[in-house]
Amino acid sequence: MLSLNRVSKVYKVGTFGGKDLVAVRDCTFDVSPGECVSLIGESGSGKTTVGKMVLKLISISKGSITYDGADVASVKGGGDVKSYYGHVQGVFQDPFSSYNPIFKADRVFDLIRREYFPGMAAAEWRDKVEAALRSVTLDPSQVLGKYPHQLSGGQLQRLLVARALLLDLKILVADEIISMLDASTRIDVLNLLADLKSRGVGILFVTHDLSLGNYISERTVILRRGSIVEMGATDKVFGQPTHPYTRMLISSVPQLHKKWSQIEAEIGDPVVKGASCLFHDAYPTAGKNGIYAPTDPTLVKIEDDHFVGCFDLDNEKVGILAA
Amino acid sequence: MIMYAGKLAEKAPTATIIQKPLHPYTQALVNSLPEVGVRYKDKKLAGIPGSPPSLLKPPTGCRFRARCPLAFAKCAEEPPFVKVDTDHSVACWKVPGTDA
Repeated sequence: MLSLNRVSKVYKVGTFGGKDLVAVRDCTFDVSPGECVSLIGESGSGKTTVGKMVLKLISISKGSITYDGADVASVKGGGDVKSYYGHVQGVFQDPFSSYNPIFKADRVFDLIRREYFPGMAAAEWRDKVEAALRSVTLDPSQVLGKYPHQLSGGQLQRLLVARALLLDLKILVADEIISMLDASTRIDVLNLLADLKSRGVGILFVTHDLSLGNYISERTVILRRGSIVEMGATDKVFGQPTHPYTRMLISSVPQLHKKWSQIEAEIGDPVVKGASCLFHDAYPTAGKNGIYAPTDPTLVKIEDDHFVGCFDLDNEKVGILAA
Repeated sequence: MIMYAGKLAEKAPTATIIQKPLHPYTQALVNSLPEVGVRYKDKKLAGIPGSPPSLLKPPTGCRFRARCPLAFAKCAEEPPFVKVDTDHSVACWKVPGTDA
């Protein structure tokens, strides 16, 4: 339903935008209805940039994103953009920054009403809002009419999900939505996402937390420095991590029953120096001299629904966007 | 040291908190942590129902009792913070050794 095809994002940085900063390069993956795809990567790996491009908050430098076969970049003009946002919505990391502290929190619902349901009767609208709030396990009497500072982070976050539910939601971009919630609220919001999934909503779950990504998603995409290094079915990526970076990432997750003193010896050096690169074994000419031609593959298929990128971790040039 | 709504709930070395938590709040908290390997479709983790109480009008007795699966009549009285083992203290009426 949502597909990214060799999507890249180049930011202009430095004085007069003289330097190019490649934040995302040649990313290709899909999100299907009722599927949760986690986008996992370290800080600065381009996860949020991908989410913002899907939400049309920033432009796409190269490649294309399509939603139901239509190019997202060409969605222009009030009506088309409005209908796109009627299906594709985002919720972000810091719920406090999504609200205006001067206004009551339920103003976000009024804005939706004004834009999308101007003709709806007040009573009917009220029922719709209350139904959406109940589906995110909020008590309408506890949250309506309150200011953002009177509500907890978890409540605000769930209000934003409820706001997306008022629309005919098809794709939800959830950018680190539970990173700042406590352990039990976090699970409530995750279970809510799983519930949305069963209603046919496709979720792009952006996170740096491997255990949360593993818990909720069917498919996993691992990003490193803007490139996809490994992707596929979650149990394959986590069960047989192939790229050295994925291995390192998975071995570095702290486990509840393991203490630092025991684990330190086990990690060792997961990156095998001089290991042959599966990607370049398969495509010896791809990405030659560090430049990927538009026709070059960016990932090699190692088994059904499991793909891996180039292993050459130390070579900065590899994967740089083709000029 | 685990706190709930401004009061101490349980105090013990980290390993004890993770391996044998005694307070129902600590237990619920530890059980809601996902680990690599836990999948939604295999094992659905549960959160703690409800939300923390308002501290403007804190509830009487045990502050966790409205959300506690084990709560009973006695919880209307405030549980003492009792030492149950060497280096392990807990404030809950359901923990053996706490009965007044």
